[in-house]
Amino acid sequence: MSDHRFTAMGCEVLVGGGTRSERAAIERLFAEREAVFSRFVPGSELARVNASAGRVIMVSPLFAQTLRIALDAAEETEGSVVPTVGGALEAAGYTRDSAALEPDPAPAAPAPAAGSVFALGRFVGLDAGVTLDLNGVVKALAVDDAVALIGGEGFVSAGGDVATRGELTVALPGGGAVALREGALATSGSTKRWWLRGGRVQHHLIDPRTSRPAATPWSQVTACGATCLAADIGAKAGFLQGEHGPAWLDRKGIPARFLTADDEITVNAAWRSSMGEAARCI
Amino acid sequence: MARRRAAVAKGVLAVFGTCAFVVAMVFARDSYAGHPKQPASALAASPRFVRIVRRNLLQAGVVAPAQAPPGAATAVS
Repeated sequence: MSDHRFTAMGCEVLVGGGTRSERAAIERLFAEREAVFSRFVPGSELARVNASAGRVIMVSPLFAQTLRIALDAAEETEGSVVPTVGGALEAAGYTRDSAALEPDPAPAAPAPAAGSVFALGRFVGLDAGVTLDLNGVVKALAVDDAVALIGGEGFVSAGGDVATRGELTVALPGGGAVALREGALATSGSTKRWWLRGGRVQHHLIDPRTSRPAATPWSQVTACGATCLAADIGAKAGFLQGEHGPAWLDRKGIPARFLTADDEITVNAAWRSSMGEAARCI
Repeated sequence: MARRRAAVAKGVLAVFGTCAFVVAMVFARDSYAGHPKQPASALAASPRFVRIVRRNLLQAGVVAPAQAPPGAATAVS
């Protein structure tokens, strides 16, 4: 199976399989989504929506649909993975692409006050002071849409979010590999997008309860979903739920694997069951 | 006298006809979808259906022990 690589959304995208025209369509899809949803592109639709906080505006069908999915994800994850953390990310210092962030002796700014989002069809309104960040769902949706463009067997991996048509063996963080038979695998964690503010480590996974980078036992969480969206939301929720993450994902039936900073691996019962291991007696 | 009886008969026939028309209209409202008895409501998915669709947002995929060398990798991005 031939590979095609390109950079989009701040990460490397790998397309396995597909025809030349399918790969070109996938590259265009990522470019279009980045142009609409990047927080760092001044002319993006997301930037326009964030700049219009305090009033209701009309957005594109793609933006409205993506925001709807992000709000559904927030409900599904009981408020763990929410789209309203853009202000908290900026307060933590995530104001440009993470690769361009340099240590800053100034401490992180105070966390912004909580606010809500109004979304009715294509009409969207943000409370004053609320800034959206849809990164939690945009990349995963792009991977799902991209793999659907491949006619035969193939896969799409964007910064480690992997969706496949046909079985694919996927290497896991901390060593080991797994056969992905259906759906997608996604990993979320704090080991790549991190930076220093006032001597303290900041990262991009915000705990909505504190509006600060989450403090959890995990460095990387890998989840397997029927879609890349499900896998990515599951991985983020598992990370943000901290020590409750494995049990929380078991309640949803999502297989997940948790890696600590010391490279200790914990798997939930759904993952253990998928691997054919006997459930641990309690 | 005959004129009076004829006028009464016409009046009775008119009242009877009006009553029959009103009764027919009432039954017509019961019988035809073109005369809805309940206020019209917008078509929408039932709350139960919406709940099921949302639950499907977090459906699991299928993983199994690896049998081949990795073709891709998952890691934080």
